[in-house]
Amino acid sequence: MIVTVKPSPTRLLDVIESLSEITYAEARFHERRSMEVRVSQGKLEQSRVNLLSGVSFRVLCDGAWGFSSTAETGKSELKKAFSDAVSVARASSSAKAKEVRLGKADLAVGTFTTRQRGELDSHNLEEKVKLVVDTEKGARSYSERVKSAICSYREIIDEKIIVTSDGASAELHDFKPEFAVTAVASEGEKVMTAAESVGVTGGWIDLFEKSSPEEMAKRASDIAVRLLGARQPKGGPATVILDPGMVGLISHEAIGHTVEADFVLAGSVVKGKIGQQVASEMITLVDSGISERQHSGAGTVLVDDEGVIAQETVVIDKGIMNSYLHNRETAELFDVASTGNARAYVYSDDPLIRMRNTYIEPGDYDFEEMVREIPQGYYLKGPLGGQADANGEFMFGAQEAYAIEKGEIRDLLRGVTISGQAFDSLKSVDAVGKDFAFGIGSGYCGKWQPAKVDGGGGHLRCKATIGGIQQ
Amino acid sequence: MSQELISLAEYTVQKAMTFGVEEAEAYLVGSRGTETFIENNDVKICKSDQSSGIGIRVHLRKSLGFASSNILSKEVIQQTIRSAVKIAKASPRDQHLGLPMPKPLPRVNGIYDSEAEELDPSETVKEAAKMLRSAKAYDRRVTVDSGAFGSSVTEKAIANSYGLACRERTSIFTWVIMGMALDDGDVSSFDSQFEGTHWKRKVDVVPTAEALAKNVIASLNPKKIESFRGPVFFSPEVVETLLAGPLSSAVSSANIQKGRSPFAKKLNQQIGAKELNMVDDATYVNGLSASSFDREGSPHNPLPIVQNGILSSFLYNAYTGRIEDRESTGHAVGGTQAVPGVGTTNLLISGGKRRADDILGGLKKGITVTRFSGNINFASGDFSGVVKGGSYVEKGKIMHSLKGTLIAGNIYDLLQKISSVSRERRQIGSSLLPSIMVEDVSITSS
Repeated sequence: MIVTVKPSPTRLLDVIESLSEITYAEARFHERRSMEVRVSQGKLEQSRVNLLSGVSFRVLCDGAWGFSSTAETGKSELKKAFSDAVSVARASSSAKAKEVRLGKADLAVGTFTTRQRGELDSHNLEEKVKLVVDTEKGARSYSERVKSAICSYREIIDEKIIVTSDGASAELHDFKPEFAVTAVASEGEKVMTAAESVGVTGGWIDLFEKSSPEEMAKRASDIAVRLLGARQPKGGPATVILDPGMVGLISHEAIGHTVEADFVLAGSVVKGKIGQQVASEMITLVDSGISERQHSGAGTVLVDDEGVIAQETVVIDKGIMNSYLHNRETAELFDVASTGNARAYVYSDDPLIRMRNTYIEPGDYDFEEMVREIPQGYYLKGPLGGQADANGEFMFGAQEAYAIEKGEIRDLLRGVTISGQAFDSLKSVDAVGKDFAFGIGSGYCGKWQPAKVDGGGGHLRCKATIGGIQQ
Repeated sequence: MSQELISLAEYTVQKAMTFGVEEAEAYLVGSRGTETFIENNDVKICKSDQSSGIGIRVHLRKSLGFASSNILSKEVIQQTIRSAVKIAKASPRDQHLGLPMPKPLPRVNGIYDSEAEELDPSETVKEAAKMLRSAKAYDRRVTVDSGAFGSSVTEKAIANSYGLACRERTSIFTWVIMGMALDDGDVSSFDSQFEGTHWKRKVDVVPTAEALAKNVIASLNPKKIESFRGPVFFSPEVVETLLAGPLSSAVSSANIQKGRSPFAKKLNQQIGAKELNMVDDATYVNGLSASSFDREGSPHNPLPIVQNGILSSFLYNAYTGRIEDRESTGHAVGGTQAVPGVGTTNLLISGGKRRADDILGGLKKGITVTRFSGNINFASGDFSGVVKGGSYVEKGKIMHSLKGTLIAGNIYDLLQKISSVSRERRQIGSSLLPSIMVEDVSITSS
């Protein structure tokens, strides 16, 4: 373990209180210890431990923001970084049109630690390497057609101290492990890949609670092999059932980004829609720092990077637009309190409005019942990447897509995407499942900086357009 | 600082060897820069940063260990070496592990502009504000969601236990702008434009802002079209995501060796139309990835990848080269925080004979695509997604912008169906790419 020098909250406070003409200042010490083991074809592709540690200062001065960071935590280096932040704030105030003011917030004071069931540190390096080596080998052993596999384990352990000039003083400890298996099956020139992955906030038990590594390897191999024989669907509008992972991806990408207040201000499709019906009455969509439904969501944040207690924010309440996602600056503009969505990825990043765990509350449908009622449609499972626009238009891929005919799940199809307008799709929802799961925890959201996020819900039935080949 | 980095790299290698490892490598990067961000039609924040990092790779009894840190004190470096050795002890053996020998490096001049060194943060504020103003001035319906203008100077140094020691300094100015058009309740597609250069005198944010404005205004009032199979004219931006990306992945020796590429048995075979010519060239100084050596200190040289549609070479780093008993092609890539991988540097696709306007003018019925959002399976080549920016073309004329239009197919099939490559090329970050016309693509209306 590499030992570094951690500044005390008092020392950070001393620095930011050294200048009186500043409207607001915050200091954040952030030390990240991460590791990754990745194996492919029995060979180690990546085996690393990383230390990334430093302090950043963000100041509000003459109505504008300035930001500076340093890896060195000595007294003089901290003072230098702080004064740099002040001078760049002054530089940007000259070009700033609107003066920044900060809204009210529930400021955090104390120590906050995310729950870890089965400490990551109690599993040593050798064990983690062996697990990855064995799982990768396992993935290749299920079928002769699986010619190649990749398995990886990653963990991010964060320690932070956040102090602000208006009273936040929080010490944070957070643990986020991830595990993934990819199988590559081939036959002739045809190559198909399938992946099973999981990412959580928590410990070893949380990580493998849903599936063991062997089960994940077997499933990835099985899907990759079956995809070899799958055909592409015909494109067109269809009734679809989305699995919790797909629900999570749509909640995050297609709805969640449009309700980030910075995006709302820039003119997203939900601007001015608070209090209006935007989805089916069956839809209650939440973005939460910590979810009572499942504590281990990978997007779990107890306190955000402005030192604000992360709230459970009901974005859409039974179909009605209820709240946007705020930092302190946008909270002031909308005359609400911050929802605790300001997040920074590493010490040298400034906090931006980011989601946390974004999900749709479960309904009362059984999955079988949902399938039975569809004469012709698709069941989409396992989200692949996707993208969504400010106007709510989205496009996502599904790893597995099954045709549904006369209320029965039939053939597996490959290369399937769905697209549509997210709010139209949510208005078309006519069944929400009883079940609940997070399903995008191994992924990262990108918006200038990466962020660990999660999303999920129950199975959901709606209308969307299936992308396929025009014959 | 450069001298300091290289001597720290050599110190680290020397120190690592005392732990009984067979081979050791240290890669150090130091950078400083300033960047101003735009958000919601206003300047958001100005940042000033200084950062550094060291990545240490050791091979101990043919096992790999790697550790990194962003703190460069000798004490932390020694602890980082210990972490790398500890990982190596826990790792399986691999007989192909090996570091490259020192070799003469090419001269790549003109990737450092000393003006970047003295740039005051207020200059980045001015450029960001100018970019914002230019986009808004083009058309009042343009709304700038976000953007940034930044300048940075980066120094890197590599040393290994075979006496390899090299260093280089680069300057980069980059600017990016993202936004949409709002017109009486009509929200256009989102668009983003990115530019970069090594030289301060080449900074020009205005055309970038105007390109964004032009694209988002053009995508207002979109109409649906009937589904059909037909020609699609891809802009350089889409050539980058849809063709250059998957091709780069398919020619990576790491992917070939792991069965993740369909090109494994295609060397010296026709993989695309005769019009397709592609070179990877880190010595092309305009490209943002220009440099004289790769992530492990191997020399950079131009490497033809596709010549007249024939696949002529794969990309190797030292490790993947050793697996096939051959030299690195200088394509080790990565930062200080990870074991190097294999990847492209500046990817250049040659221009064709005809102007883009002439190619478009000859199009009877088809679409243009300037922005694509979808899924591409690099291994199989299957892709499908939405045309986010594009127009319907009939009898050589652009009729209207598109909505609810999807395209799908297989990238590797598309390469064979290339019918024209434009003479003009656009630089997108590290790539220099033409517009490309592809025949017989599935176009679906939702």
